[in-house]
Amino acid sequence: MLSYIIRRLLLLPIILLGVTLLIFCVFSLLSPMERLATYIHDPNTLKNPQAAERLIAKYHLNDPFPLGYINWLKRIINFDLGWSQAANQSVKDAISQRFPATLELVLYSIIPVILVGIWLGVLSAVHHNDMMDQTIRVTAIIGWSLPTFIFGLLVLFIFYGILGWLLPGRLSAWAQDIVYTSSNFHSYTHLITVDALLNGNLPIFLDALRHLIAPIITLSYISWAFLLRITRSSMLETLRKDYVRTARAKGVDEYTVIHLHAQRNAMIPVMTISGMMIIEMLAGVMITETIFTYPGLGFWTATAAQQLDYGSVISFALLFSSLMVIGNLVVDLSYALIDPRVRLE
Amino acid sequence: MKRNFSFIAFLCLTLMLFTSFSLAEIKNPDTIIYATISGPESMDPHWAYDTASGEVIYEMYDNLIDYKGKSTAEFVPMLATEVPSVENGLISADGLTYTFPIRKEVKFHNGDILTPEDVVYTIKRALIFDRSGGPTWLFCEPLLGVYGIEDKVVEVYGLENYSDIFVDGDPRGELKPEKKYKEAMIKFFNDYIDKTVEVDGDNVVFHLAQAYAPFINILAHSGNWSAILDKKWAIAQGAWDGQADNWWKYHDPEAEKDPLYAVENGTGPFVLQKWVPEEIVMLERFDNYWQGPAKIKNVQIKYISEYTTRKLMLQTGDADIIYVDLQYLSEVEKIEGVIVEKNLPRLVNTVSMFPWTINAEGNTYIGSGKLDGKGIPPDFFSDIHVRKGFSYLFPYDIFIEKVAKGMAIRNPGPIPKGIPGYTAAAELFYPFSLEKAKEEFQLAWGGQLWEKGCKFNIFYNEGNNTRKAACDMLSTYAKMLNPKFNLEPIGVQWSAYLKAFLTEKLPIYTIGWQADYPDPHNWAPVYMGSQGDYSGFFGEAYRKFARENVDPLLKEGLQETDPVKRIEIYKQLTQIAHDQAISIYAYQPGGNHVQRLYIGGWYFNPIVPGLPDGADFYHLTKGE
Amino acid sequence: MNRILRKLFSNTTSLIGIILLIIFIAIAIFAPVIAPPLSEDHYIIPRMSWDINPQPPGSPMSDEIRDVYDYMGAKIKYDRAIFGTAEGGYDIFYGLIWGTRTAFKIGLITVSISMLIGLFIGSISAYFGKWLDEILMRITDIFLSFPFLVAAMVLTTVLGRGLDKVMIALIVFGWMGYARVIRGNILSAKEETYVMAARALGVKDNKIIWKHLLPNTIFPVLVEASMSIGSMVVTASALSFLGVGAPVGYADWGQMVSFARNWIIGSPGQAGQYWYTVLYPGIFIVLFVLAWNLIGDTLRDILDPRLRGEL
Repeated sequence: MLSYIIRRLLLLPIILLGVTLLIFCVFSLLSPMERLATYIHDPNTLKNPQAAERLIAKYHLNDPFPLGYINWLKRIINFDLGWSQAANQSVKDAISQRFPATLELVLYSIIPVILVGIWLGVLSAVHHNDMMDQTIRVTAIIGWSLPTFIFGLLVLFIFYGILGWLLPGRLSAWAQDIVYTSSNFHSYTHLITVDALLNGNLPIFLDALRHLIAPIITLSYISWAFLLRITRSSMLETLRKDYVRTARAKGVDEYTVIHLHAQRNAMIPVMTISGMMIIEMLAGVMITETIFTYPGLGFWTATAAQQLDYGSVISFALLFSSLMVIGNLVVDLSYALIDPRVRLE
Repeated sequence: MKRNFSFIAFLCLTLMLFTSFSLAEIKNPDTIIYATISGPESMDPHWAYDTASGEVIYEMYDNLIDYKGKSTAEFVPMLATEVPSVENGLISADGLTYTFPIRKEVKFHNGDILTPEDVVYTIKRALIFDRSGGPTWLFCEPLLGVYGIEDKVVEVYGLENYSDIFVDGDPRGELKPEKKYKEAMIKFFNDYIDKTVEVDGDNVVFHLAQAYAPFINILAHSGNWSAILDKKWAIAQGAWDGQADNWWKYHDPEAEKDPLYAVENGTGPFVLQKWVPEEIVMLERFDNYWQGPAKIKNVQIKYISEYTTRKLMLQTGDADIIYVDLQYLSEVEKIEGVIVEKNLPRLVNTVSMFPWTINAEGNTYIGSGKLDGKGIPPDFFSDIHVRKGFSYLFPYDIFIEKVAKGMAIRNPGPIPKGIPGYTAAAELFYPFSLEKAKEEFQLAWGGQLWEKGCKFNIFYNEGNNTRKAACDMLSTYAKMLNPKFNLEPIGVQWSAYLKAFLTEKLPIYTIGWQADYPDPHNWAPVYMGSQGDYSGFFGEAYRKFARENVDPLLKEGLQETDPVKRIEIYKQLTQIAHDQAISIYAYQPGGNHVQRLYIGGWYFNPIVPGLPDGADFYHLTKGE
Repeated sequence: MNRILRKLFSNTTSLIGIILLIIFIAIAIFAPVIAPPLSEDHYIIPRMSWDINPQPPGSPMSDEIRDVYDYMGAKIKYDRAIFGTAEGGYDIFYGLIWGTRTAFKIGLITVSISMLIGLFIGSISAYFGKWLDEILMRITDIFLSFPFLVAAMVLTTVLGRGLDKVMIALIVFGWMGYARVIRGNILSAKEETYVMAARALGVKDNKIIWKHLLPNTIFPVLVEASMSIGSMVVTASALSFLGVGAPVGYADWGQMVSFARNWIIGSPGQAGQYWYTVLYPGIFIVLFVLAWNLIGDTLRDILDPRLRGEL
């Protein structure tokens, strides 16, 4: 067991190295002049015929591949992640500013995903193949088929445009004032809803929540359909098990059979999948955050990629890859912990 | 049981949420909110060369002089107490010395008092700082006679490259250890930089390297580069320490090493309360502003790249002023409580260029590279009939009407309307005429072009649909004229565009220019000079032509002190632009301003950064 | 095989999916008849007018454009924008019809190539085992740990706009799932007696892979692959929406939705004025993906060994 964990942990830096190498390769497809485009948005600013050359030298855009890569690695090891042209601040600042926002969004999104997905999955499995099952399955499939961006735009349209209930961005102007500038407001976690509660400020809590609803709906939408499928098949399998049959034969009422016996055991694979889903969501935020102009990691990465700001993109990819690998490890371990049969392998 | 409880809790939360939807009459009554697309790069006046930074710096910093109200030609004193002119003797007769008496009792945001020493420090620091791709060349040209300080060092010491005197050729590293290098650099500072500007009692005196008609414009309040810094504060932040003995260490740093990137200490009407890059800028009124405090207490500039969101914010009153693209203007006009000012004369134009020589090396954009109907030769546009043909071929009026929705005008040459030197003489405009185009093309290349046809790409920057429409139009009408003319529009990303532009590989490309300052010297050289930002890339044949025919006129125009004579010179240049059909001067777009009715005090001056979309917040009121 | 087909046709959900798919295939095949092209490159959407504002369904071709075609002697086979025009005068109907071909192209090409790559890597990795397996699986992990949308976006930004670049990006970051699945299947199949027997008889390695292992393990992969066709199309359109992907004016569904992005709210009092810019492309995308998902969902149920005998 221990050796297994150690082996997996040792692989982490190798994989990360591989990821950085991959991205670096991709960006090396661009010539130095093309990479200059990250720094120059307007030929206006290249007053001097030599200006382009100077800029290329200044930002080491001319360095041959191995040299450039090694230099960059050296800086990363010192936690100098470089400058984000897209965000006009250092990458470290850009990430620490945006990470709490995305985290807040993702954490809240998990709730409806799990609740709805599991509830409907169980329902669907219990009523296997009859009307309810078919309806739920079809709704899920339709959910799956609607691209996030179309759904997001519709949500924006209905809830902001027509009804005026929900607002894009993260906070209203008055709330932003208080959070950013007031000395009474202490940002402990930078998760605004949590901070608002910790500061005892209910209006800000509600305001932040209000801004989160539309992105949450959009982000969770595709995921609950997926979770539904997993729950359903897991539940179906469990319901066929011998011990369930025994319980039924013993005369236990159906409700207890389903929710006490079957559901508990069916949840095992579901729980492990949920862990991975959280991490997958971190990647899926790009579109949602763009539509709702929610100032999180996804929005920043989308902008950075468009502007060829590869420093930012690499940093995001590193962050995400680390989470993925660690998350994978945690999930596999917990699976082994929960299911005694797995441990023996 | 558990289920019911959570359900009730959920209901309560929802109810609370809905009751929190308060609908005030005017939201945020003491804050004006402006929503626009992208944020500032830096708060350092010497770094920033983009509109987003410019409009923020405009509110936080003052300059020596300001424009008078809506005018782009008249000045009023600002941090100086008089506007120098030849009449009042503050400009010398040869145009090489400018004297500015400095105002007293002006406070910086941190309480320091403005002195002439601050002005001198600011200018010298600008020259030293001189970041590549930045705005400080605007000082280098008049004060040193070159575009950048590195060029001056190279010129004075006869070097190959500025980086040669550094260890490992790294200008951000150490000087070569031999004593002579350090001494030379110190001498350079004393001989050149130190002499450009000095304190004389209560005055600041500038010594120019050449007579420079637009020098006053460069110093005026609209250009963030000439904002006045507080010397004591800047040094405390880690900017140049004012000494000669290590000035090169403060030259052209990377963005993250610039100490003034995120902080400010100006004399302007607003203080920077908070800046979250690409998210928001929060400004607060400076109550001790020497011209009297602003009428509004807070200003927030929010950066929202989605147009739909900005529009919705305007509708609900969450934003008071927003940036709207031309094509969506008709939508916004219908919103209640919103006023839209249209067709405001902006100092920008869009031009399609004909490089006289195209770099043929590995160039796929020119097809076969020969005049055989499957490509064009690299010197295709050097034939004046080709250029004239295309000038007659572009459907100017249809474009302005349909694509620019009527909110644009034509220019006959590189100088747009609103800048002195502009001329609207009818004979200088090429009409859209298929017959005339045909005539010209039939004469081109001894008739071969008409017979064999041509095939090449025309360019627009990906994402710019207006320019795409222009290219499509040109292509459509070309094909209509002669089916053998294959102009294929392609949209390339900015990175590929930049590269092709710098390597002179683009056949016809459409690009725009925005004024740094309202003077023809900021326009004509760009599009016509041998070292122009654009025309400098037209190939050696053009550069030769320009050196002989254009540059002398440009220099004359720059140094001429009589405004009437100047206008004549620039009119001559426009005539040359017409006669040589140097480019298609497609259009000068009008701007628009969208705001809510309860915002008062807005006026339009085309040279103020961020306008017409944004505002000069100092004069604005909200409500009543 | 027959059993599977029978089940597919009898189940209502999958039947609907099959019908939808057949309709789309018909549209793709008959595109030149349904929306006759007006220029040489059939995938460039013709403009009905130069106007920036979208025109409502049924609008006629504007006069300037008509003049151009008349002058060039081109026969105008249809001159009304049946579904209206998108921003810039692009005919929505044309874009959607020819976009069907684009969708199939994207789906089929990306899925088949990435599947082939995945199969290759997965099978040699599983069969030869040891250090080759280790290296290949680590490489797979590297690609997997890269967030897909970001990776695709980065690659298309670097390579430039264009449908082929989008497909390259989707393929480069899409083969990993197949590799893993086939590897898993082969690893278990490897221990089967018939494989050991073949080895003992001295049958060559590649023959074993080709003739014995692959045919028995490939089926689930094929199913998985066919189900991803729908999601590939969605990803491609998401990329177009984000501003990379097919060039402006190209007949691609995602393109058409990205046109609609700023008009979705319409004017106040007339919210939804430009509904056609979103509704028509949206319907096409959703129905296309729905078709694949309906079939796929039922197919999975049929093939799930744990449910065998239940359906």
